[in-house]
Amino acid sequence: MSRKKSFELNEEMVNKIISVAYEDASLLDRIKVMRAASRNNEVHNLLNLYKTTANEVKQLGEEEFSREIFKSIENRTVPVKRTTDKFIYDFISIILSRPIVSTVTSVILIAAIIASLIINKPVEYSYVYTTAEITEAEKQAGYAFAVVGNFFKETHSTLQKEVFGNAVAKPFGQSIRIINNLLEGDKNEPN
Amino acid sequence: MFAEQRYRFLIQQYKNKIYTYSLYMLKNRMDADDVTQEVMIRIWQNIDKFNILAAKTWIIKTTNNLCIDYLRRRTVAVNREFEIDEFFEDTYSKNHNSENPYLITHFKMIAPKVKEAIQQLPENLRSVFVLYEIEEMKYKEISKALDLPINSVKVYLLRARKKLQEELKEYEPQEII
Repeated sequence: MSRKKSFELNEEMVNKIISVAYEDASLLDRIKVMRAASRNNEVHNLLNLYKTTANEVKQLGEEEFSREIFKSIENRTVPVKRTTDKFIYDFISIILSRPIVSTVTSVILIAAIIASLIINKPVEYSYVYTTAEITEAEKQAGYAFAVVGNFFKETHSTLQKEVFGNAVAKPFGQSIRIINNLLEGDKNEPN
Repeated sequence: MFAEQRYRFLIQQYKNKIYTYSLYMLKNRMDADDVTQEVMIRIWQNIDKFNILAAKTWIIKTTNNLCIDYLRRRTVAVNREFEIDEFFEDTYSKNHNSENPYLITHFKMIAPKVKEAIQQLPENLRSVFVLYEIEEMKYKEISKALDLPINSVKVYLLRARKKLQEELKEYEPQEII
């Protein structure tokens, strides 16, 4: 009994049939309607009627707007503003608005970047030195090291003789002697 | 920037949609021409103000408002509703892809009747029906363009479909054979 009721052509079922016919029903509604249509002729006929109308409506296209009127309205609107714009702005916008120009510019830029990366590789020298040049370079390097060595030697002797001997050791010795004299003097003094 | 390019793009995209909607709403080619021109002028005047991606809703809303103005004016002027048929061109046969001669003949015969039946729908049902079925707009877009809750859009669409079915009862295919 309840099974029969689900195929009944009530208001709810009609709404579902319409949605199915116009192809915007949910999957569940579609299944319900298709099942009902297969068991109930009334539902089947109504579905077919709505499907026919829906199909006819879907075949209707957009109406074409008259080209003459379109041209006339374009002349009345666009040029009015165009005269107020700067020539350079229009010129640039016309060029940049073309996709082919933008594409070609991008390709040229990418190609230039790649080419610059390839061309400006680190420089590699393949020059071979002669034995005389190597000997001369070794001599010059030895001389440079000798100069640096002498500088360090001189600094070392200056530190030992002048800085430690005169500036540090002498005043240090004097101060020790003074302290000794003071301590010894204290010892020798009668109580 | 690029106002002219944006304008041309929008016009190419929407001029036929504006015109179709106006024609179904006003039932008169001359008024539809006028409304389409007026919308195009308004697009140009506002080209720097609105987002090009949200333009569709704006355009349809403007078209709808202008159509309502025309319909209100017309109620006090001459009733020209009987002029509809002669102004519709045969766009029907261009769009179907059936190769069955019987169906082609049937579609050609029934197309003006379907258009007429759509135009006979009440104004509120007609606007929703045309936007959904012919302009292929979504519920949300229609809701925004017509300032209606989405549920109302769905209810109006259902009512419009039922009413259209009633109107077309006499043009069922089997009766044409």
